[in-house]
Amino acid sequence: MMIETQRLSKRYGREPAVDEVTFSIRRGEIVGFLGPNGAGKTTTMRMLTGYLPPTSGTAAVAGHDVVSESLEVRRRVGYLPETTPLYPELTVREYLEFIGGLRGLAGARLAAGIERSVESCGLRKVFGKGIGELSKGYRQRVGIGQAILHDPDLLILDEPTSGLDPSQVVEVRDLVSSLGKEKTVILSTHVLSEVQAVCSRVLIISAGRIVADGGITELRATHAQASELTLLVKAADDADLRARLGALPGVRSVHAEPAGVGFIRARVAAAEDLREPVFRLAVSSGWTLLELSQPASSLEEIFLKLTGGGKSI
Amino acid sequence: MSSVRVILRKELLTYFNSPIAYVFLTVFLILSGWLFSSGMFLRGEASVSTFIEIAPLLFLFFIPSITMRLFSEELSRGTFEVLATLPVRDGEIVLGKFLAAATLLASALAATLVFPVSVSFAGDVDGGRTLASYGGLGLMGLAFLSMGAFASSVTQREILAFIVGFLIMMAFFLAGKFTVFFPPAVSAVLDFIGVDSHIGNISRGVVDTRDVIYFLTLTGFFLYLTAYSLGSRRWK
Repeated sequence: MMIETQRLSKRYGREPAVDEVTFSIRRGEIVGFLGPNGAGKTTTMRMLTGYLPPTSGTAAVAGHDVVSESLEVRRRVGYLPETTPLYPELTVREYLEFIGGLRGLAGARLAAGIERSVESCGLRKVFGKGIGELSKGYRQRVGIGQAILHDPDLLILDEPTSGLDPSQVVEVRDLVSSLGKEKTVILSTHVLSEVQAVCSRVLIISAGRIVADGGITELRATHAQASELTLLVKAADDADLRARLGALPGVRSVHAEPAGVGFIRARVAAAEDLREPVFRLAVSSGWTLLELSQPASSLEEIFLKLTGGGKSI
Repeated sequence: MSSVRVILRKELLTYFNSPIAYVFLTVFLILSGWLFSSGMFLRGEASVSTFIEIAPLLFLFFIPSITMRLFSEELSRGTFEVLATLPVRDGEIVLGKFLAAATLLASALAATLVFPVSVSFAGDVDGGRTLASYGGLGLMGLAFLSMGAFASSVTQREILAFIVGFLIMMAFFLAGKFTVFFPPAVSAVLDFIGVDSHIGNISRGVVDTRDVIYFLTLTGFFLYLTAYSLGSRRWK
């Protein structure tokens, strides 16, 4: 287990920022922390990196407690904070040497670490340049380069793509995906497509609590609106079809309209999965069923449902 | 200890990659040069005493200007979050930064050695006393630097760090100056707390271990406070 938390909480004054969060992350997963701004993503990450101590509960990284064995945890984690803080007066080289030195790397190991960062983050072109002169995309890469310098087991990236232009976003995502082949990665985001593009698992956080946890397909399945079915039927009488469908137990409403000569398109809203009964009904009524589908709900819908509306996404 | 060295190196890079160090050194040298030459030509003294007497006052303004950015800058830029999540102790961060500021101050003081050396061509300079004076200034400088470092650790605004640092140094600077207004019991304490009596001894050429210990204790105390204040930011 790479990360294990038990009822992890952080309160600022009385206000809980993170409220009894329990989860575990296996080695090799790429996990997305998804949630609206202020949901507690950053606070959770800060507790995992040992920057903020929890108010109550525990968290362990690779079996080391984040409070009592903070130095051990910090050695194993690469962390990129939300705003990508860097020193504009240093060059990329000076900065990486500085971080590497504080990571305890020296000589050949430092050179190898820097080489790896430069290689995987594409920093060769700007290696000798001052950080202050770099574009936002390059700064983000320097930030990630800094985080992987010591080849950490766990990479924690707080909103690694915020503020980047679309092509830079794609670059950073590709970088994260390729890093995720060898490492455990946690990234936070409020961009849903990012989670779909990069992560194997998503934790949706809202108001300091985890409201959903699972693989993306899994989440879609569990939160799919079993309620909606669309079908295309070859039948003559749409009133008859409407009546028969409406008579099925569990159906809330039926909306049917002719779709070309002899075809009827119908939308059925129901409380449960009605694909089987609808199919049997079609067979027994002698309808030719051309289409029967249950649209999977998008991550956006799940997200909005779980975080209580579209306050800020 | 290697972390301290890495931080020291980066801080020196920062000082010397930006105009801070050069502006500081230039202004400090011009002012102290003026103090030297006025003592030499106006009063006809071949001594460094004018400089030594005024130096604490110079320190009040110069030291906060080099210490104000030490932590405030990291806190306001957010780079402290990176630093604090590296496998480095707060004490090592404090020590590295303190040593960098001390190096800058030491280079400024070393550059002013030109003055007593040139004065020595014009007349006899008491070498031992001059050295003692420089030693005393250095010790006081360390104590003031540690106060400035502490001030910088409590706020992310550099200008506030300057003012807080200035006020702390001012308190220690003035404590020994108003002893006449207080009853003997209080004034003895004030006299001991203030830097005046201690720097006075040293600049007269009397190196008393008690004065040395005074300055080093003060330095250690404020460096400890600095590390404590950085640590306590996390517990809020």
